[in-house]
Amino acid sequence: MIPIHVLTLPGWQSSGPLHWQSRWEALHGYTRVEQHDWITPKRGDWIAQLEEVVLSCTGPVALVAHSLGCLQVAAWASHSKHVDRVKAAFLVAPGDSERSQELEHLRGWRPMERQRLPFRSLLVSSQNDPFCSPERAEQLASDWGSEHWDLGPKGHINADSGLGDWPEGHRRFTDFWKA
Amino acid sequence: MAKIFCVANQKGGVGKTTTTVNLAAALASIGQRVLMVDLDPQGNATMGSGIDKREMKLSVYDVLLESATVTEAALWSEPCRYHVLGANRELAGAEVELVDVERREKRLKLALVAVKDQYDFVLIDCPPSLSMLTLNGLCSAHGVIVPMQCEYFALEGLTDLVNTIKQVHGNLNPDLQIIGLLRVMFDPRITLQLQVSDQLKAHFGDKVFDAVIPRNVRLAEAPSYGLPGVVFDPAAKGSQAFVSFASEMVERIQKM
Repeated sequence: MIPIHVLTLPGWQSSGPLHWQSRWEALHGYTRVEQHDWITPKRGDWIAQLEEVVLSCTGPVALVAHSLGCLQVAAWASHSKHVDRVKAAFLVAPGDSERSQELEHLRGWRPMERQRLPFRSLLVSSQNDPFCSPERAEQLASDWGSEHWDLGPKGHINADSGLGDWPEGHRRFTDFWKA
Repeated sequence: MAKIFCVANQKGGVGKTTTTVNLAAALASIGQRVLMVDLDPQGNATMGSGIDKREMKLSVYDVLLESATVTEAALWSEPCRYHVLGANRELAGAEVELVDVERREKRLKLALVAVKDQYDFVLIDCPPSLSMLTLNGLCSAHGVIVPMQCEYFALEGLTDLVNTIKQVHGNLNPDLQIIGLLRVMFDPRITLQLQVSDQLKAHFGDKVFDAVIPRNVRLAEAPSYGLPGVVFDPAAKGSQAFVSFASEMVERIQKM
């Protein structure tokens, strides 16, 4: 079996050491797609970074995105000629960049990309995410053609959600990309 | 109507950006209306024109993606006296995002049509690689200015560029031609440089500009102050050479 490269894509300001993405990197050797600028997330720059990292991987790729990272996956997938390299995407707590026009740092991420993703995806949402309502999450899952997992009231599904290493999430992700 | 020129050379580190910003500033200093377009995601020509690439709300990226016009995205550089259509790292995304769109190599050309009467010169700083961005520059331009160091391998890099220009001329932009070769970072005390300079003259004749830009410390220092040498130290020899070059350019376009 060809080894898969798992790439983690954090959201705005990146994921800190207690975030499950950072823990998964430490526990399972996953690779973070680093950005030049985590504070002012420029859409074009983030897309180019993902393209470059995907092209640098020698085998198939699985994407593990959180928050703005989910929008990055959708934006990249709507243009890239290399989407066939992606086996699956795990999209956790997508941030709704359209929830307010006043979010200056997300200006370039509006409107959100709604095109159906050209690879299998599982969208994980929370019932009390301050950055994306359950209705919007459901709509995004429908637009992107993603399977949908409602995690219950877990906030933004980040370090503040008390998930620790989030073994349940990792099991679900692994089962999903291997299916 | 604006004459549009790319400053290009497929060899890196030959002084493209220095040439672009100093020619822009020199043309502005002799009364020409200038737009400088930065097509390199590194954004050095933007920063070197007194514009902070991190603070730009809109850039050439938005123009290429047709989410802004040139007029909306261009910024006025007060010290340099020319407009800047700037670039930052976001521009790298255009390479991915333009792959699947129609007229992708002509996005800049079409955008510049709207401002053709507002400027006398549009100068485009191209990245060294042959990318979709460089192609947009070459498709927009009436001609290419090629800065060259008079060194041993200089002619090899030129062969690649000439072949690229021939292809673009044949397939995408019949107006495109090499306007001239500009000898930069020139040091007449080095015999090899004199020999290569003579070779260029013998091979390319009138295509070699009369103006020669000398190796000059003040030109090299200027970018760290976020200004072209022509603005940073107008009295420096390098700056004066760029003003001579600007005058030569004005004469040349009158013959075009």
